[in-house]
Amino acid sequence: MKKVQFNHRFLPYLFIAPQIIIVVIFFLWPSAMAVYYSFQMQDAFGVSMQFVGIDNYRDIFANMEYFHTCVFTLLFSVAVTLFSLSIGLFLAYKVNTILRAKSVYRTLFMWPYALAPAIVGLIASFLFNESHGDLYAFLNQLGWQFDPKSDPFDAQAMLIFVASWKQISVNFIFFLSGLQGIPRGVIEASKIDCQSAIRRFWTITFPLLSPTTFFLLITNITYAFFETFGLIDTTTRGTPMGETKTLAYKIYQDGFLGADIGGSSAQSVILMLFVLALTVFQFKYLEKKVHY
Amino acid sequence: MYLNIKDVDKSYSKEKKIIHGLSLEAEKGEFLVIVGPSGCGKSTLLRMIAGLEEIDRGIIEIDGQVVNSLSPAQRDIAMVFQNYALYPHMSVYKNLSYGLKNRGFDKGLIEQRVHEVAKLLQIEEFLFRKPSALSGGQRQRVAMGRAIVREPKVFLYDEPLSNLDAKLRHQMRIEIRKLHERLGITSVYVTHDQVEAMTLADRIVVMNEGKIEQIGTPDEIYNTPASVFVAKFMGTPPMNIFQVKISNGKMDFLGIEVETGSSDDTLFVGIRPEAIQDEESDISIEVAVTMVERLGSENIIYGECMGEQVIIKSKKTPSKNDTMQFYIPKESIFIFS
Repeated sequence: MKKVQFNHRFLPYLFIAPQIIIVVIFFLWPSAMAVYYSFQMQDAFGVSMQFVGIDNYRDIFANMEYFHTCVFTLLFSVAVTLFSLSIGLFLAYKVNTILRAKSVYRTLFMWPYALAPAIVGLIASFLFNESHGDLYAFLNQLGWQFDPKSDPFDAQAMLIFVASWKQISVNFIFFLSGLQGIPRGVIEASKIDCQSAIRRFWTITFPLLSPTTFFLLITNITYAFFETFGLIDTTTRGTPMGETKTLAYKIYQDGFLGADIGGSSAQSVILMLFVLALTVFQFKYLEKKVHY
Repeated sequence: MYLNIKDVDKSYSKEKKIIHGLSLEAEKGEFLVIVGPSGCGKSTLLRMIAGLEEIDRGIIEIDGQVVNSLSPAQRDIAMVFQNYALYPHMSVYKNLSYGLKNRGFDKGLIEQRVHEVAKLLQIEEFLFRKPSALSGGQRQRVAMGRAIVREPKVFLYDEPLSNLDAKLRHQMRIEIRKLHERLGITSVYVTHDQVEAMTLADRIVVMNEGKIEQIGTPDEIYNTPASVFVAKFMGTPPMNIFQVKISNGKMDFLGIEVETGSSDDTLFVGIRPEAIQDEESDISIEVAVTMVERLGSENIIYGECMGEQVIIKSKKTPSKNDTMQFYIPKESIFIFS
C-alpha cells in the first residue's frame, strides 16, 4: 500500500486536534483534577483547601459503609451482566432459528435500546409504585410482600431487574449479528455430527460467538458500574438504608450532596484503578480463550 | 436398493416447486453424480437426503430404513460441503473426532480411527493445527477426513471441489475416485462440472428444473443422450443442435434425406463437435470460419454452415474467414423429437 506523505508539519496535528481536545477536556483534565482533589480537604463551603496527604484514602478504607457499597456494586454488576447476557443470548438464538416473522421479533426486541437509563428508571418508578404500580401489585398478589421502599432486598432485586431489562436489547442485537456471522455450513455440519441441539450450542455456536461475548462482557460490566447511575437516581436514590448504592452513585452522593469533594475524589480514583485492573485482567486472561 | 428416493416433492413457496416428483435409486457402493445447471435443484436434493431440508411429499430410504422423520445426525450420512465448513475453533484432530465423540465412541477407538484416516489422507502432520492455518487443499482433505472417519452408510458431496484451483481440482478428483474404490461407500456427488461427472461417476443423473432428464453411465449419457438438454449439457464444447422441418415422415438435412418415422413437423438434429471430421465421409459440409480457439493439442473452430452456427473440434488450424470442407458420418448424427 502506498503511504500518503504530507509536507505540512502542523497539518496532521490540526486534523487530530478535535479528538485530542475532547479527550483532554472530558477525560484527562477531570481525572487529573480528581487525583489532585483526592489529596486535599475542603471546608463545607468550598472556600479553602488544605493538603492532607493520604488521609482521604485512609478514611475510606476505615469506613465499613464503603466496603458494603463495594460488595453491593460487585453483586449488582455480576447479576446484571449475567442476566442481561444470558437472556439476550437466549432471545437472539431463538430469533435466529425461527423462520417466520423474524424481523418483527427483531424490531420489537431492539426497542428498549432507544431508551436512556433515566427514562427506564422513570418507567420503573411507575411500574413499582406502591399506590398504582402494576408490577408492584402483581408481585404482591403472588404472595411476595414486595416493598422496595423499605426492604433492601426488594429494592436491589428491582434495580437488577430493571437494569438487566434495559441492557438485554443491546446484547440481543450484538448476539444476533454474531450468530448471523457464523457460516451456515458449519452449523449444518454440526447437525450431521451431533444429535443434541443443546450440545451443539455449547460446542459449536457458543465458542464461535466468543468474540461477541467477550466484547459484551466488558461493555456490560462497564454499564452496570457507571451507566446505571441515571437509573438509580430516578428510582431508589440509594434507599433504603443506602443498600442500593453503587460505587459511582456513592461518589455522587458524597461529593455533590455531602460536599466532601476530597473524599469522593479519592473514591473515584480508587474506582478508576479498579476498572483499569478489571479491563487489563479481562484482556489478558479472557482474551486467550477467545477464538477470533 | 440401498438408497431409495421415491416420488419426492419440495417447494419453498406455493408458486415455485424446486423438486417435482423425483425418484432415484442407488446400489450399495455405487458412486452417483448429480449434475445440472445452477438452480436445477441438485443441491436441494442432496440436502434432502442429508435431512437438512424437509420434503413435502415422498419417501427417502437408506439401507431399508425410511429416514423422512430422522434428524441429519440419525441418518448415518456424512457430508462434504462446498466451503469445507470445518469447525474453525477446533484443531484438525477435534474436527475429525467431533462426530465420533458425540456418538459416544470409546476414546481409544476414536484416536485409532482419526490416525488411520489422517494417514490415509496425508494430513497427519496437521492434526493439531487449526483450519485457519491450512491451505485450501489441506482443508479439503480435512473435510473429506471428517466424513470418512465416521464410516457412514452414505457419503454426500456438495460441489466439494469448486473452491479449488484447476490443478488441485484435478488431483483431488482422482483422489476421491481412488478413495471410493478403496472404501466402497455409497456416494452421491453434486456438481455442475460435467468433467467431474464423467470421470467420477458410476452413473450420472442429469437434472434440469427439478426433474431428472436422464440417468445412465457416463458412456450412455455421452453416446445416447435422451434429450437436447442432456446433449447440450454434457460435452465441451457443447453439441451442435439444428432445428429441422419434417415432411412426409422424412427430413431433409444438409442435403441428405433421413427416414424419421415421426409425425412431428420439426425435429432437432445434434452433432458433436468432435464428430465433424476432415476425412471424407457420408455428409460433406462447407464451413465459413469465424473464430479459432487454439488449445495446443487441437483447435476449436467456430463457423457458419448454411446459415447455422457450428462448432468443430479439429487438428486443422484454419484462419479467420477461410472456407473449409468437413465431413459428418451418418451414424454420429443424433435425432431428438
